Amino acid sequence: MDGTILQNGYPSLDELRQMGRFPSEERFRKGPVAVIECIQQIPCDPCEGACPFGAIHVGTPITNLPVLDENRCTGCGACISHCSGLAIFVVNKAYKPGMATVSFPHEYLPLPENGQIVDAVDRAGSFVCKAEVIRISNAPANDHTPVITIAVPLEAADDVRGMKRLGHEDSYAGEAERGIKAAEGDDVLVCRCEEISIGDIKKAISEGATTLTGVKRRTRAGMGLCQGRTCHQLIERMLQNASNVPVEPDTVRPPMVPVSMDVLGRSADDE
Amino acid sequence: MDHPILGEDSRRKTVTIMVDGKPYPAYEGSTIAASLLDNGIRINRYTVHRHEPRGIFCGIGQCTDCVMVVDGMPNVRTCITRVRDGMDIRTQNKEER
Repeated sequence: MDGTILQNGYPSLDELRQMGRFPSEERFRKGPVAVIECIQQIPCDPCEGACPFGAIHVGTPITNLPVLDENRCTGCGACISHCSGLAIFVVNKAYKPGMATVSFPHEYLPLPENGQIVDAVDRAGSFVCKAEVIRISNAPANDHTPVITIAVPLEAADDVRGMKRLGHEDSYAGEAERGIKAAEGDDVLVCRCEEISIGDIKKAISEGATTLTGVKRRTRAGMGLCQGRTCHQLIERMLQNASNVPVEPDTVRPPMVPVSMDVLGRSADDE
Repeated sequence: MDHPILGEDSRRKTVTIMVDGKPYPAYEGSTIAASLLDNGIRINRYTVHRHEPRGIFCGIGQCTDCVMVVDGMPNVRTCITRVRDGMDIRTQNKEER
């Protein structure tokens, strides 16, 4: 797994290790322990209050990343369902010789059954190995976030972070035949109203556009029905990525909400 | 139907909406987009240039991807417009221009 959470939308193992998010191997060998895969500083602290042993510290400011006291953590898993970002797992590398368990939040129905063999997946959602479900916790304290524990080979314990959801095996069957496929790379639309792609915006920037207005005049991006509500942040980010100096914010003009021409253009005679 | 978070579905009163000339049931108080989804309809409009199908994208009235022709008025954001009995709803830009 290469890349970072900013590029892929999920953190890589290297990234998590570099940011000190993993307990020590020594602690892992002792039994179950929480792995808090939280690497973006957002104002959030339910994990701190969820731990009955005071092993998770966020403190002040609330944007601090949670810090785990690995010696206080018992691996009870109370924090798993309390993390709004579904970023906390419990890994037990001392489950059985050569085997580990991974506990993770799973907010999909139907739930698996104890003993069921499921597809274990990594942070990207890609298949890693088959795994047996050994515990399902859906207690009232979980507040509707079931926690599933599966047994995986020890070498997969750092990669497996979930399971393929059940009952949707055929969801994407036949889409390729019907000509449905996700847009990739430069073909991904940025401005959905005017159907302007990443490639079109890149071309406008390479032709000299340095502001949102510059891109707009070259491509019509942001001039459609939604008036740039969906694309302007994306284009601003692309402009900023291509520039060494801060990009000027664009002018915002009223009306701030869509208003029909009927409201603006009606004359007294029409009443 | 039981929902894992919302519990039992207590909506009972339905209205009839017309979609491209065909009648469909819809829960009173629902949005047009939600009612179409309930009836398995996922295409609300086609894009102007490429004539590609579009459905619910943002679902909060921002992106205008789900707009349809409602009672003769084009560009109505169906995700924030509630159904009314007898409403005439049409797929926008269905025919290639």
